[in-house]
Amino acid sequence: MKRTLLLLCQIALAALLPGIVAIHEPPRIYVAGSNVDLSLDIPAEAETIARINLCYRPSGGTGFSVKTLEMPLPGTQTFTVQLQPQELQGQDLEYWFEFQLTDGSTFSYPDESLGGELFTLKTEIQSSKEAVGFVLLSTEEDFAQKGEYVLVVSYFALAQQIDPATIEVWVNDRNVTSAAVITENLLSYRDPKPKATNYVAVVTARDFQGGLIKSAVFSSKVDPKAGKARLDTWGGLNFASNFHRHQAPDEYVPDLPEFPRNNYAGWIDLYARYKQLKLNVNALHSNLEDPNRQPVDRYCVGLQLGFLNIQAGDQVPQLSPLAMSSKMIRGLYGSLTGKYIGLELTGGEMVRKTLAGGDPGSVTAFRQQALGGKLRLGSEQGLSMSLTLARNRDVIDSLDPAEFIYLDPETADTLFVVAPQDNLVASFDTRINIPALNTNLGVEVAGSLYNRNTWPGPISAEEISQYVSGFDYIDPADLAEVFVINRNMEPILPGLPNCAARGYLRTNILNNIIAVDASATGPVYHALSTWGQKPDTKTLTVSDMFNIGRSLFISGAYSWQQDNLFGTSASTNNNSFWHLQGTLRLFKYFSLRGAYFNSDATNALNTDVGEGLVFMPCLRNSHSYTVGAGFNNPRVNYLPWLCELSYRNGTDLSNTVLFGDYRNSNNSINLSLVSKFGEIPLRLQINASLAGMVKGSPENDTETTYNSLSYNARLSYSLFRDRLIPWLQYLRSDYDDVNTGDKSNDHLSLGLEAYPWKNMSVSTSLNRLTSVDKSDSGQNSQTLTWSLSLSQRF
Amino acid sequence: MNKTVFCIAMFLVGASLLSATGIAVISGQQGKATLRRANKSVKFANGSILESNDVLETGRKSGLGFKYADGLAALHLFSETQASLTAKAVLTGLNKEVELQKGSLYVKQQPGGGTLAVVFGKSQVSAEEASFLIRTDGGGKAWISVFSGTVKITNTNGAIATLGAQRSADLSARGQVKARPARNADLTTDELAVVNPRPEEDQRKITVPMADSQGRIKYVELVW
Repeated sequence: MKRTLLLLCQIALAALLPGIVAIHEPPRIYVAGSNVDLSLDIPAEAETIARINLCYRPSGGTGFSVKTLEMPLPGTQTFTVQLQPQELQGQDLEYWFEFQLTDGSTFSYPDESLGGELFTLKTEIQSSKEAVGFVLLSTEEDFAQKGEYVLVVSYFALAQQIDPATIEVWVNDRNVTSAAVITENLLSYRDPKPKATNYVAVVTARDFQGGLIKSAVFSSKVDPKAGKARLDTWGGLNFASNFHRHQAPDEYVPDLPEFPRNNYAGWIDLYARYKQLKLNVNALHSNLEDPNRQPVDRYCVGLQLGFLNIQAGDQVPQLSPLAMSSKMIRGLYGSLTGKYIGLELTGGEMVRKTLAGGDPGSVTAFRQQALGGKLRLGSEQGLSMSLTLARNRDVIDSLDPAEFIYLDPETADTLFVVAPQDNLVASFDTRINIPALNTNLGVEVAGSLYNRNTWPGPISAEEISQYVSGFDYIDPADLAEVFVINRNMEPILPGLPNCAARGYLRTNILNNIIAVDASATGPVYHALSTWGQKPDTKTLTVSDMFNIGRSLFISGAYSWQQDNLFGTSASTNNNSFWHLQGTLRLFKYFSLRGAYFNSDATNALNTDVGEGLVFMPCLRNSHSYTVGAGFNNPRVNYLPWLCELSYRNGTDLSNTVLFGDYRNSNNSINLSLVSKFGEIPLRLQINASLAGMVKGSPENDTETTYNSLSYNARLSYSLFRDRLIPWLQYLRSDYDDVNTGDKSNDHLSLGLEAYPWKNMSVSTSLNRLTSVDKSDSGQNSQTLTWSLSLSQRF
Repeated sequence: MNKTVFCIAMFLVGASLLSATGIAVISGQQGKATLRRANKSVKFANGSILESNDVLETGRKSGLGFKYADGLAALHLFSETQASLTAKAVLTGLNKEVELQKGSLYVKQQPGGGTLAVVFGKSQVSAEEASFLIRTDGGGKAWISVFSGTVKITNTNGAIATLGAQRSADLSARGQVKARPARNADLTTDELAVVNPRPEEDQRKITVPMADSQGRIKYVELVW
């Protein structure tokens, strides 16, 4: 399995979800002491992304640090983040990206559960003349290094050429010369408590003519735990806040996107390990959390001991995508994992959002009892089969009775307007992993029982026999402990409509990483322990990624979705999406990019339902292409070492009653430049974007033109060896809008990043956003924001 | 001029501080072992640098490995072994010498310059490229087993005999050499583990429960 995963993820292009594609070119290496810029291009659906976090840690380490990527400029799709030397600590890193979408869902890129492997970033040792006379004596095969790191280098053959007093020893880019023992022939450095698992060492010296020579790079793998049992602890303590002051022309309405609330969050992660025993304590408090969406003030305490894992508190069990996944539960979780058998059990409470008292403006949430279990038989290295059961039941007592009842003022009737629900899901999946073929495939089938209203209570066998037979020996009332059976069940008689299935294939053939996913969901399939499946649909997604070394990347995907699976609606909707994109790297420093995206939405009349039904034909299409060129050479000083120029052109058209008749076209040209200035620790970043859009209405034969110009400059200067980094950023966007008048946004930010001591980072900024309506100064607004984040890792 | 003299003087002082010449380095340790330098016990650990005339001694159920500075010779002292080491730089490389007072010593010498000699009593075994094991209880008697290459045995009388790979020899106190084919059975378990290290994953193991005459369950572990 692991081997397959490794092979599946060696390039960095991915179709994350249908519609969202991320392009990330990992820099792979960096020069110790310098910054590292990471960027993520989202060519489509970038507006559905609320935030992207970079999660990184030293290679082989535990616990991830998090840094949020900067949002792209208007008209661009590139999210960026910069890691400072204090954050890099001269170590090899592993990282991944966490996507938070505007609908609240999150996912990872790469996703280890889907076969992804973390990106890596390695340090590059400074270049100089390499001498062969440095011989590593502490070789792994005949030099025991259990739980310690020992570097022994002999320069016996160079003893007459170099001055031992000039020898410097660099281990993982730290100068450890003072801790090393250096003699005429040998040097020895020992770290009795290694924290890293990968060590890279270089020895430099000056010959008697003053020339600098260095050894080869000596890499060693160290198991910090070997040979000793000790208590390891690590974790982090974090705080982040944003305070806003609005000067708006209209009435201040908190929670609107343009008037964000003051917010703060604090979280702590503690981990301990002793031999095989691992403990974790996690807690989070945020004033932005919605109690109607998930349990708030989250916490989790857990332990892992070999094959046993127990967690108490808030967690997100991933038992099955169709039965229980990605939803937070507050309760207990336990798993037993063996090579040929595995058992996972979880129980606790979720929440389910609903209206209070039937008022659309008032929201409340049921506490919902959730139970889940999964039994796996077979090896994850080969064939395995799993059975998953999940049950969700709204806790009626969790709502105030006033929230259930609606008193109709006209009829004076008392109505129960909020309905508690019951849900039972069973799924069976089979997976096959064929490491020799780098292939994973699997199939999952699930069925659900769903009762949308359990208020009337269970009905008796006699009552239900009026609808269906087969209940002569069992009273459905007795089954109510598990599931309430009454006439509100959907459907009353279980069958294919309350089933769902999915199949998938992942394989790596001749540098092609191929993924195929297919699914079908019945119209009344419900799984309340998931965020839900789109009912009555079938989908197919095929993607391929191809690379030739680091020179050529090509990726493509096709996604198709059709609803009305059971043919019960007069209209059948089809949505399809495909894209093709490629990157060609030339002469190491240059790159060319191109991409094409197309999506179609159509519908068709379903005559099987009947004749003369109302049918509104629909045709929507969106397509765009992007071309670009780039230059990237971190060794260039003064002139921009990073240049990106891209052009995008797209068209959206619609010919529907529902969405209107329009044909819009847009184009934009974007330029990004990044410069550094040799020994002067100054960094300048400039972005500019010119975008235009033409809104056309074929019906009225009119066209409206919009233009926008955005530019951004960011200047940062490093002080006290990167311990203090003040920065200044200015962003301006001008919008030329014929209908609503010209507008502009000015965004001025002044910030400071500080690293006062080891593993401590402080980041603060003062931002002023000014919106100017040139045609109506009364609409001008201004927002001041003070942001502060503190992070202490230990 | 004064500045130049000062610099030269400082260089000489620095060089003299650094010139506690390292000739070898500790490369592994199991159990209890001691290092004596100028008749004083010295603390050491993996990676500690050894100097000429250092004396190494291992206790019961212990072992100690070290490598010479030229990177061409790796040696391992088995339990209850005492040895002192020296080395001398020559034009061709580093000539290494280990005086084995007692115990068992494994030597792996790679080609590339310089020689290695193990001295016991008035005799010695030397090689330019070989791996061999030598045991002695003192008094000039020794047992030598050669695993690869060829070693040269010089007895108390100065007579020289050669011993090839897969051969072993008894050396009497009078210097007589009696050679025969080498057998693994002549090696102890510890010696075999060092001479023929085998990764754990290569080991095949089966545990068989067996009942003795009184019905007690015993587990017999077979490893091959």
